[in-house]
Amino acid sequence: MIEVSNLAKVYGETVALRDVTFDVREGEILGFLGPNGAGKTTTMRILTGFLSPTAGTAKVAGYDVVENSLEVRRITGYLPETVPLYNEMRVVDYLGYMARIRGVPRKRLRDRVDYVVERCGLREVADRLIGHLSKGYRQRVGIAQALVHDPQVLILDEPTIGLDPVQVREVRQLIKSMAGERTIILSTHILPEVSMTCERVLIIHKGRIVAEDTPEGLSRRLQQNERLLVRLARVPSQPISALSQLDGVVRVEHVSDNLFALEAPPGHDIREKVAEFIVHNGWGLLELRREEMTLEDIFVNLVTRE
Amino acid sequence: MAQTATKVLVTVKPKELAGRTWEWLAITFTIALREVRSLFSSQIAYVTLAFFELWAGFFFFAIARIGQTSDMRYLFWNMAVILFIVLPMVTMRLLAEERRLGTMELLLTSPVTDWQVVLGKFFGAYAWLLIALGLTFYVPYLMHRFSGGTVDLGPYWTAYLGLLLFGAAATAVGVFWSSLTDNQIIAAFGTFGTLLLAYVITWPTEGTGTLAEICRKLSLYYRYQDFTAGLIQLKDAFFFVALTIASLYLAVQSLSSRHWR
Repeated sequence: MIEVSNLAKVYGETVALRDVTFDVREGEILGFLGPNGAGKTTTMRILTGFLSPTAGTAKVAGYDVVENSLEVRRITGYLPETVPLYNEMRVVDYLGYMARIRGVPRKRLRDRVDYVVERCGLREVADRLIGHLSKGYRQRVGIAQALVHDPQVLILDEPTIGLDPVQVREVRQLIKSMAGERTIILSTHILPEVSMTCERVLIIHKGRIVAEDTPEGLSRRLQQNERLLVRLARVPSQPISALSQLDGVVRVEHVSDNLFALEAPPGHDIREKVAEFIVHNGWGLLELRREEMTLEDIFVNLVTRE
Repeated sequence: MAQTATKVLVTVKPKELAGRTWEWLAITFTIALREVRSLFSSQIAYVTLAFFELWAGFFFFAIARIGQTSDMRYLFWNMAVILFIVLPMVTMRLLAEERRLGTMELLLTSPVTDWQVVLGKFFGAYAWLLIALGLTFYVPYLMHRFSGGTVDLGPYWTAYLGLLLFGAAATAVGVFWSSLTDNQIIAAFGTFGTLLLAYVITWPTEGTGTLAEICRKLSLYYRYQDFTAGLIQLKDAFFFVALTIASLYLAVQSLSSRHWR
């Protein structure tokens, strides 16, 4: 659905993108991961026809983003990072306006606006001025405008940034519910977000793609050791040496008074053994969880490997 | 195959072309309409209208009551003068505000051309001018009524035509300045400065000579003057139209410059 090959973008002296190549299948949700300034926004702006690449090509549904820019824009919905909205407009008027300039015929306008208002949970604020909405609602209006012309491709730049945890979950669910139905690229710098919503991840750093995999594959590949966090009700007298006896545990760290981190070699799932061991010794297992690697960890790994 | 292709060209294309042109204009109109609504949801539209009408009313009163004449050249002349102060306030936000808010990114990633955006903005601001001028129609009405129909209204209509042409060029200059920056003050000041220059450019070069001639040719105000006297000079009308198109063209180029910057 989206084919990007050897894309490069240079702003004056700054190289924002160098030789970026990737594909997105129809109906796939692709995560774009990377720190600020990595080139995520630039790539998205090229795909939406806002900017032209310095070199390379990008095609959306077979249309070249430079030569057939208008066709690409017709089938693409875009939510920029800043969520640009006209504060003096009412939500429905804004969505109607966006639908119109995105080429929705006048007779289908009402239906489309109704649909996105419903789908994005905007019913109760539909007649309010955008300037009076909370950040969460503004974000949803932003997503609604990207969907209003029923695009095949959806490009979302940091769709959950600045939202509270409940709103973040709602937005992720909304995005996930469109899997298979639309081709989606979303950028983020939060790893759990990618694991929750995306089928495939691209990590972009300094204008280059440094890794490409499924979220699980990526974590697995980059994780050096499996890390388990356990919280005990009764801490034994020599906790570190006691826990180290366990088969497969290579390192134990005392994180805080009753919280310990156990490390096992990659690919070794020691959770069951750890649980049995602690319960058997009567230490009172309060909590046992796998520590997820953050993007920072993965990033540090990738960058130090280079 | 070749025959079918020709047939399609002949029978379907004109209709499709008309449909597309219509849609093109309809979208441009949508952009313009949003602009008008947005303009009139802020105080700027009302403050600028109020001052324009106050100024025009003041001159009308002075001429009709104190001057005891139906010669409204000074009134129409001063309407154009006040426009260079008032119009920049109306045009400054057009594209600069979209840039500042980031809504420009949405506008320019929608299936609309840069020309549609610029024309939409232009007509949005031009609507303000139409309203402003429309609200001064009491001038010909009162003059006609209280002179018992003896006043020749011809020069009034040519003056209005001149204001429409002059105003289009001035608005287009405003659109251009607004396309250059995300700072509304710079956009307003640039427009104001350009129009002020067009106003005073003939002052130091009164009389004859090549320089004086060139200055007059460049002066929007000089070219407008004849319209207030009841004269329609085609070359002046053409100048205004050309200046409008040129300014809008530059605004389009300024928008497109994002691609190669």
